[in-house]
Amino acid sequence: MNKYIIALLTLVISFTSIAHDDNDHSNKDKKAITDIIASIKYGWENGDGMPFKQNFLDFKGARYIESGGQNKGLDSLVTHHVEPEKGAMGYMTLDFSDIEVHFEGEKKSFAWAIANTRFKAKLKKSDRELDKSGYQTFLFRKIDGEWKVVHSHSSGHDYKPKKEHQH
Amino acid sequence: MKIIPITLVAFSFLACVISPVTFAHNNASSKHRTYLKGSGAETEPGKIVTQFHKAIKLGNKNKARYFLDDNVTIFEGGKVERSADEYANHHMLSDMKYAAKLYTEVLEHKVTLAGDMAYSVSRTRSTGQFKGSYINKEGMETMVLLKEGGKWKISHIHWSH
Repeated sequence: MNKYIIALLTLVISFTSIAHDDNDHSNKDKKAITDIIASIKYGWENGDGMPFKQNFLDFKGARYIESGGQNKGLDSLVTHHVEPEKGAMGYMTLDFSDIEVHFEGEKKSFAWAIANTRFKAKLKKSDRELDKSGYQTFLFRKIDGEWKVVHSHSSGHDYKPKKEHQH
Repeated sequence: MKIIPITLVAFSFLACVISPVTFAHNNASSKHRTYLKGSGAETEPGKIVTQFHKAIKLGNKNKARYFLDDNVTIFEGGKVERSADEYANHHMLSDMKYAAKLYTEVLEHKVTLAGDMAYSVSRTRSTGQFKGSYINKEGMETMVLLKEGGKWKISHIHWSH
């Protein structure tokens, strides 16, 4: 009888530790992805291409889409948008909220993340203030143990506050 | 009395000129998207993308709904729809009316497979008359597809232009 109890306990403990490992793994991966998204925010706000160079996979055919336009490859994104846009703005803030991360594949080596965005800035030339809300899609692949952005797509429109429900 | 033959000739002439133009316009807007060779459109998930667009163009709501995961998230025109039913009962209908009137040329398309997951990225140009205006717009599309229970479904769409 004792043998059966010990076998059962071993089985339960094994399953629990596997599940715990999976959770740990998943939390670690989720943190890695949200850290990358935070570094992208920093990169846009500070006109710093480094977080993009570190976290985006540069490959032939890479496409990074921004509100209807696309950047072919990482260099185009950094040199034509990230770096010059900061210089053209008096101030610039970009916020990602309601971030959802989904892991896919047998080895969970692919992830996609979606988020709401809010972009506020002031154009130096015209003093015009921009306030846009929108959505962001990021696609990631885990390569040699590191998550890399393989595609991004953002779209935004002039921010319109939600009308309060009136009774 | 001479007015009748002149009117007939004028009508015949106008009919000859207008008919081919109208026919050509209808013909263009009824054309389906042609996908580029080697883009991955011929793969299983690629076929889901092409068939989904075909169903939207033809106004086949049930078929278009079939290709979507129940919990699909769709970003379109600054709005979000968080289920296939929500999209099917709202924005899908206006997308069908829009797609039926326009010809959409695929400028770039790439489907990338990673096991039971795939993503499709495309750039298109849509032209034609819609609600009295001439449309000539470039559009971007990102789709995430997942294979569950042996069937590929679209789990996420991001459209922008």
